[in-house]
Amino acid sequence: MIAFLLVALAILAVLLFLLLGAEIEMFRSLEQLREYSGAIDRPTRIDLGDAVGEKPSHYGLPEALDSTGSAVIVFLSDKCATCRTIAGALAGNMPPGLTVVVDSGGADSTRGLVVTRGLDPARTVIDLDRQIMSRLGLTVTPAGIVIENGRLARAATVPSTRQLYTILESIQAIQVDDRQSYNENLIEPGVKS
Amino acid sequence: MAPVGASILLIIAGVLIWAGLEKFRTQREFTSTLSALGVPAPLLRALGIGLPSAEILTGVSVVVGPSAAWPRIAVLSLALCFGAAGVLGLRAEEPIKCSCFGNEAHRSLGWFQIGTLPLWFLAMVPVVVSRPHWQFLDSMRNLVGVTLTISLIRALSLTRLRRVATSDRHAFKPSIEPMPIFARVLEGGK
Repeated sequence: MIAFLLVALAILAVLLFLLLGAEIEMFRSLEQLREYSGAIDRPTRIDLGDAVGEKPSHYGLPEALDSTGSAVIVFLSDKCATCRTIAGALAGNMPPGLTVVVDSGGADSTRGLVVTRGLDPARTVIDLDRQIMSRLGLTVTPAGIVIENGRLARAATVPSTRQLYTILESIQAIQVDDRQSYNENLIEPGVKS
Repeated sequence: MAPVGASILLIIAGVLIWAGLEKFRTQREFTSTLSALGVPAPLLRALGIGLPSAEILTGVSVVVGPSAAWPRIAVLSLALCFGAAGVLGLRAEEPIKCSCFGNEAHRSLGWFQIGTLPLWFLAMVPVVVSRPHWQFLDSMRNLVGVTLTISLIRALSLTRLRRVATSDRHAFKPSIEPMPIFARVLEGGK
């Protein structure tokens, strides 16, 4: 009897193994689909070329950034859904050390730009006709540039709000209470909203 | 020495059962590997079922009859087959995808199979020297232990993939507001 039960248990374990394998296959297919559609939360490094080590003001960015120890500049566009999501998370809650550059898309004023609503105007720059982005060689939004010791250091795509905060944390510019405020706004299963 | 030999046998059993089950689960990939190795078309189906069956049977036999000689001979025979596949893979004009564990590993047949061939023989040395032996009920328990262990290892991989998928899903919160018509329906339902 015990032997029969053990055999049955072994067969069940084998079936479980096969089912888990099928589920792993599904998750891998999902990962592949996400990669093809670009909906994967992984930043891609952007080559800044000769801009590395240069002062931000050389490229039309605020001069105050030339004397900052470390900061992050995030480039957003009004036409980009992820940019709007990031701008929505930053609205009224811009962490210290962050400057937002908005691609005006040809507009000569902020009127009608959804992305700028709620952003700190002192730390928001409107990039008319993409002049700043063109000089930096940026062709994708959202993108983030890290400034270290007042010089442009590195750049990467910013596929989500979470990745933006990861960049900010990496330069230790974010305050703990700002992070908690961000976590409260993020809806996760099992966590009360 | 006896525990070492016993542990090696159980690990070999786990590896063979895993490989056999995965080949069954990813039959198409395994058949294409066999075809790339030059197996004639009439033999493809037979070998596609026969080889994974032999692996599973060998794995189970190693646990059920550890002191018997033929499971060990079967292990070494399979190892020689893997080594031969590695040699054929090196000689092939184009890399042949290894389907040893289904489509888990993204490597080609070649030096890995040839390099692990001596390890299979070396692993058999403590087994032959120590001659592990256990009762039938113990062998059943060991078989359950092996199958549950490989399922647990699988479950750990699944947990990691699920975590990544959940993180990606939450990172891309939709920024589209609900259409006005739905908002009116919700308000009317209060």
